[in-house]
Amino acid sequence: MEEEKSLLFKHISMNHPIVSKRTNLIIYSALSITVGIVQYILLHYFFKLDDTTASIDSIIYCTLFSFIGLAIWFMVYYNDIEKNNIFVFSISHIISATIAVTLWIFKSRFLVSLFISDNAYYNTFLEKFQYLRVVQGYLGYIIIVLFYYVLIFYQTTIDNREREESFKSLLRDAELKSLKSQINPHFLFNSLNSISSLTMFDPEKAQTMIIKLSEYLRFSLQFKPDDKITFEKEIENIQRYLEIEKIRFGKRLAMQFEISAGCNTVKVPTMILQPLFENAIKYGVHENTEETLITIKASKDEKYIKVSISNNYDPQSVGVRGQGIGLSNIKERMHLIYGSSELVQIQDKNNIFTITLFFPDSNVSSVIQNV
Amino acid sequence: MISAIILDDEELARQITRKYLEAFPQIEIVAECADGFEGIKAIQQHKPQLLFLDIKMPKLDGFEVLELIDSKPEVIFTTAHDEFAIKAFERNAIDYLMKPFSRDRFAVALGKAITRIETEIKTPAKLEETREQINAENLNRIVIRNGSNIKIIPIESVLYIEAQDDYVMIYTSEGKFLKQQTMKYYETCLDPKYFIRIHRSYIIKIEQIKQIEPYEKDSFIVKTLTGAKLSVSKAGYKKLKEVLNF
Repeated sequence: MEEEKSLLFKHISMNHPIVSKRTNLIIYSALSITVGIVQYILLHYFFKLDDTTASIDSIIYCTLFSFIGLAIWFMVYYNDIEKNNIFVFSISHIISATIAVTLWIFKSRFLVSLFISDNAYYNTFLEKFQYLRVVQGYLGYIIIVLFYYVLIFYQTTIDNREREESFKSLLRDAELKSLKSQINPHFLFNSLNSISSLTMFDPEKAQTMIIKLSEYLRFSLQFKPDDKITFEKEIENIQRYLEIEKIRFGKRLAMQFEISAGCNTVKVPTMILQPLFENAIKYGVHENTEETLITIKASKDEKYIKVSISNNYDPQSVGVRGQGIGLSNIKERMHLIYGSSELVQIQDKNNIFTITLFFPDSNVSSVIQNV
Repeated sequence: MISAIILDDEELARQITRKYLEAFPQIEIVAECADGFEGIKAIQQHKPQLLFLDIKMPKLDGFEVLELIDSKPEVIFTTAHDEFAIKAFERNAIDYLMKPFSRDRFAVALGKAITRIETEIKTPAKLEETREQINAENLNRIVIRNGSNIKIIPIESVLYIEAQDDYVMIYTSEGKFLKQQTMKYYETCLDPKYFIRIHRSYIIKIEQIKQIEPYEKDSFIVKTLTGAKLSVSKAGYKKLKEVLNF
């Protein structure tokens, strides 16, 4: 039954803002009583109505108007200012105001007549100053409508502020996560452990490793996930990474680079290859006591550079899962950056796992888009 | 003399432990191993009193090694992962050293180990005790040792599990294997998305269910794809109804 509300109303529930909240109800009642008292004072001292008549008139008219005022909320709620155009908006309010005022006056007159029937002065007063009642009714309608809008704006502002806060904290989390994903803590601590060991047996090698690790960290922390760098730079960092792991794993890790010169200047997203090598280490080297050979081949044609990373693995290392998660992240990232899900290919054959990525050459891809 | 084995797949990591141990002449390193298989062999052979154990290793991880050995040495874990500490202490580890660790930190762990070994507070009930405290963890393989043969069963190939006194029989696509473990353990650790306990004596892989048919009055049996017939308890039938929506 509920139709889609505009932004302004999105956070306002159907619940009546006055009836459902005690403080609002108290404020509203206090206002009504004040209006009643003012009306009494006017009737009694200005229009010279007698005490009883003035009080009965004030009480009945004001009480009824308060109830009608509560109903006006639904008019405000369904007459969405951001969805209807200003013409429809005004017309519906004018119609509803007229209905409200007419109803109010007739009902009130009827009720008052139950108490006061033979007061000639009062009857003349009613005839003579009927128009003031109408003015009072429309004015009251406008004030109440404005009151509701103030409530709505207030509520919306608070909600927006809260949402902004939670959005900010989400953003912080995301940044932290991307930082964490750039540097695998286990890689870091295991490397530090290797260094700790080397300081005792081979200080020179320890120093080499510290320098490589520092370069690697500096590079990794330098970029945001959506930055792009040349393929050459990315490969340099991969080399650093593998050299660090080589010190750790010794003979268990071998690597081979076959990169054609044309690839070097093509821009690729930063750290896009890193997780693939981490996977190769994790599922290849970690699970294998024999040598694991990690090969990277890169070649370029007119539109793409094609990068294949492969590693052999121990077929007996069963049940080690998780490969899927890392890879789906890569696929997702490639899809986000290049808008195509065909740029990642996976092959698992003869105990060799190969993943191939196609990076559109940015100079060419702009041409493709124009065609 | 206290006999010790160092089990770590990284040479540089073993080196540190070896170096630090030089300060403790009462410890004798009887073997150093680089993977789980080697480790089990050496532990079975030397029955060391103390074991320095890495967790992430090729072939078998540190916990699987502990599961498969007959003797129960005191264990000091050495790892770069912090997420296994609780599990390690549940297995009665003496200490949990986070790589890289200092000489002082190492000495504290060793002090504890020596005290424990010398006062022989070791209790034979240790293993049983830990079996009771099952930490819900998702199992992705089961390791079984038969003499000197070690068999690694990926969870994917498990068809169903049958209780047999103190053991369970694990039926897989490659045959059946006996394992000393409780049904409760597998009920907790197997992913409930794929496995369901249908009876005191049976846990079955859901996709192995071919047919459920009544058997005598008030009871049912499940026919599996491989043709086995397994009884279903009342509680098991209820669970099946929930999972399979019939």
